[in-house]
Amino acid sequence: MLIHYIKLAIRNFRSNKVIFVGSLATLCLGALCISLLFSYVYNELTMDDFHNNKKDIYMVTMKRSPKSEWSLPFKNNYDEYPEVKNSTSLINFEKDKIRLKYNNDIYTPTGVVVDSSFFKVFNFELTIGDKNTILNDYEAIILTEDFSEKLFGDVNPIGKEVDFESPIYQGHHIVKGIVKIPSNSSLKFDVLIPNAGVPYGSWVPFVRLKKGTHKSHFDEKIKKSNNNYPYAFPKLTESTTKTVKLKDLYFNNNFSRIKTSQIFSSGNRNNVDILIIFIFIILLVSIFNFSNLQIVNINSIIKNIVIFKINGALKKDIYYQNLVENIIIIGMSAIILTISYNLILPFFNGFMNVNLKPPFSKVLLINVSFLILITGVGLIYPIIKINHFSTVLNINKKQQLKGKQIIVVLQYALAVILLISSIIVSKQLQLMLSKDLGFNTNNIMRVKMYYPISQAPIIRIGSEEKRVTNKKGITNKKEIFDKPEYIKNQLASFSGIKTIGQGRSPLDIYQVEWKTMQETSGFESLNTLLFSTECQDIFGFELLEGRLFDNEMDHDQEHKILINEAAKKHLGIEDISMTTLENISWGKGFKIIGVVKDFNYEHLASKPKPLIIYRTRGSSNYFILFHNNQNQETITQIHELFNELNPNQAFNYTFLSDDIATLYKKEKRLSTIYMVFTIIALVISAIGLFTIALYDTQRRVKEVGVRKVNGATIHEIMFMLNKDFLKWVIIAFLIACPVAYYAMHKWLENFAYKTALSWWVFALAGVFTMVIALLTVSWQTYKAAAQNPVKSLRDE
Amino acid sequence: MIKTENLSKIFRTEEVETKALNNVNLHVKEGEFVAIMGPSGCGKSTLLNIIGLLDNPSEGAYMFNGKEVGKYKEGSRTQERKGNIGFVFQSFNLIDELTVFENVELPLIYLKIKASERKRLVNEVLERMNIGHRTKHFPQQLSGGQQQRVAIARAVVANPKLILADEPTGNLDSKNGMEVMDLLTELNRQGTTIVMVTHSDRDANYAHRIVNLFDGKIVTESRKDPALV
Repeated sequence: MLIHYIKLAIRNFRSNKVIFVGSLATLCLGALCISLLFSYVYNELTMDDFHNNKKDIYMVTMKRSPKSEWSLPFKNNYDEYPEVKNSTSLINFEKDKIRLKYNNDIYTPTGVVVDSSFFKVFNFELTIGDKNTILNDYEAIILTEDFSEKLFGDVNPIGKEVDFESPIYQGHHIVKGIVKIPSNSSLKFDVLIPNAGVPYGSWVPFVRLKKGTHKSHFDEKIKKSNNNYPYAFPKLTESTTKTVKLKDLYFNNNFSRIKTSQIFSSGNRNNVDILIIFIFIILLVSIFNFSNLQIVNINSIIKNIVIFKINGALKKDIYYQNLVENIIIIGMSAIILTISYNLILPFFNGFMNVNLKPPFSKVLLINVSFLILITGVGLIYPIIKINHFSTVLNINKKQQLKGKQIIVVLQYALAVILLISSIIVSKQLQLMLSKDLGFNTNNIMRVKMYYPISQAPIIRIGSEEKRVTNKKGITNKKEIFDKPEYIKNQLASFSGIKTIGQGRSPLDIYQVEWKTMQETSGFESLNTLLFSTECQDIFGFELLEGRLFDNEMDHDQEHKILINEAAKKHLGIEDISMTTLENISWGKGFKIIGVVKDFNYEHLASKPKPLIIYRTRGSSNYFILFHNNQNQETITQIHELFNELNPNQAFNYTFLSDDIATLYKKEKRLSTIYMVFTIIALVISAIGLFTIALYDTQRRVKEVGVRKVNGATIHEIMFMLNKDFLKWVIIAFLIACPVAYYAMHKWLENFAYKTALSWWVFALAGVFTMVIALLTVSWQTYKAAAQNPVKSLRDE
Repeated sequence: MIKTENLSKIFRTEEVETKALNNVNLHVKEGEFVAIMGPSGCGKSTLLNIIGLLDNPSEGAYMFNGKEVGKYKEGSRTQERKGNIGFVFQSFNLIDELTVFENVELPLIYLKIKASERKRLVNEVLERMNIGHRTKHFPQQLSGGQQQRVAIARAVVANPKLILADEPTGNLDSKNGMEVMDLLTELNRQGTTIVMVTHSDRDANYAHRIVNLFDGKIVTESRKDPALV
């Protein structure tokens, strides 16, 4: 019996090739999109779930004063609290602060210095090395699998010696462990260094609480633990300390100040939600399409079903037949799908900037689940309808399954919603990329010209535990101020350079606690930009009142600041000459010398925030304004100067305009993803429409013949046939417009600067969908319309 | 074998009600060859469908092999039909996707007969129908006459007691039509009961008895002298 079913299924596929190929394509395309997106979304939503004690792991964080942002606490060990099972802390380095030397090659990995309790809190697995002892070995360095491969290739890394250097610590290490970082780890690093007593730094404390401890209870206990903390500067009296669950950290934007380093990755819950909606829509489009193809399939084999019944087939035999056909389709799709999934995954990973490596069995399981879901749901309607077929009516007259129209309408409505949304998303991206930010961003090179020597390095040579405190601090300090002069003179001699400045990038701003002298409710975190006087010209700030910095009038370390309009408004300053500001760390009496016009230095999701600008020199970070374009000759000159100052170091530079484009990398990526999946949804819908057009037109061949005999032209016939199909697409478009409008209106609320929901976007989506549908349908209708009526009538 | 009492069939749509059969009383004995004649739309095919257990009557009783089957649900009708009734249609109704052999094999598959036994039975009946050399061909590769012989082979392969033929020669030329009628007559001679709907007087002459239907009623019945058959 089974052989009979299989044989018949294969014969059926052969005689209904279009339906068969269409079904396979629908399943493979639909499920491939869904599986890939699902893998990504699943990874995001299960972030950090691999830690055995994920529910009990917390980061400790502090607010310096009630209006401050959350930042790192001073206190980094909480072992004395009975609720704490283990306490660990790691050093948080900012970008590009770490260098690793091996064989004269210099790498800039993301690295973490950790204490010996690290593996008691976090469950990273060591493929080589013993978790229990390795962190007590101060000579050891632990590399991740990927970084080890980058450094040593296939060579066994164990025992290899490397030099590690950071602003606060440098040492000689031997590779003694290899760690595996799962794709769903929000903590990302290339190397782990056991802490051999680094004196200070930005420690990020984590605690693992004992099972059953209430977070709120513990938070209450540690609330004031950072007030008047010994050795800390500034002394705090109004600080609040609390814990944040590791699991909640990933999607939380409130800790951006802590997450500036590369070791904490951040997710965007909004984007994940949109991808989930995409998964659902593509799932529905695939289901609708599969359902439609099945209706067409059953319509084309109705005669056979009746013959089977007359020859003794029971209903269950018909169902089994259908089941076998679908199991074959699912099986074939599963094979194609799993192969293509594995082929595409590396590209998808690269594109989405993730490192998903689901095991084969999981991929197969996910794929088969989605295939069964699509076919299962897609078959409900056809199966119910087949049950109500009358055997008798079908012997001579053909009965047809209805409902195709409604399904096509729904399917196209969803596809059009996706299309409109994708166009709006990319339009919004264009707006953000092309918006005038209010400051000059063109032809500005950002380059780190030298790496300041660690101010208090601890040097370990070989296995000898020799801590050398650098007593030549003065020399270092001198060097810091000498080098800039030399660099400046050299740079000034290059003809392609217009202006040279030093300081932090407006895109890499950090927050400092400020308040006006009159303010009584305490300090608050405000964006603060530090740079040299020249940067004012480079960025081209527009002055609204007062004056800008001036090298003649202003001197180093004077308490003078510029503020932007937003800061003036935010701090409620009426007259800048009457107000001075106080900084929590740098002291009182900061005079406001001027107010600059607001400019957009952050992502355009938000309006310009209050900004304080403080004049400083001595940054190793340079801004170089080129005369008219980014000419290669000047870049080479700068490169040579860099080599002279930093032998064996990698020369890294960016242009500010590229840095700004980087801000929108995520959006760009998502916008492309949306477009790709929208096109796939449209392709799936087109497969359905094509198949329906093929079979429906075949059914109307006689009608076409009769009309032609009675004088209809090919054009009239095509118009008549196309009209019926396009009617559905138009209805779909009318349903899609308000839904897409509402959804996009909501989405744009996330942005301070919104693109217009222009009518032409809707028109474009409508016309595009119509043209595709028209081409799809006309392929079939032309064949029918052009046929010789003598033939079509004789056939009947 | 077949006995109907006041059999009626009414088709209803939203606007019209059509009485396709009106108090039909028909009695067919085992081994008989009955032809049902009448103009288009008189209810011939409807009657044949009810007799063949493809449909239920609206009113009246239908006794098949001594059982009242008029109210049977589809599943029970199929069970009753299996192996007992074979069908032959004007348009042959072969499955295009199956070969001659596989088409004929179909009723045996649903009767769950073993493959080896199926093979024997199918080959035997195809030889009898004189198309044993065409077993691997698909229906489209055969002439109309050959297709109808395959259809008859399929109708008789399970050795049913009753064969229902709905204008079996309607799509055939006269030579092939005669061959098909000869086959049916031969089957009847071997004991199979045959009820045939036809328009053709010549075909009807092969039958023992001709029933004339008009507007859903039996109007005349004529019996031929058995000696002439």
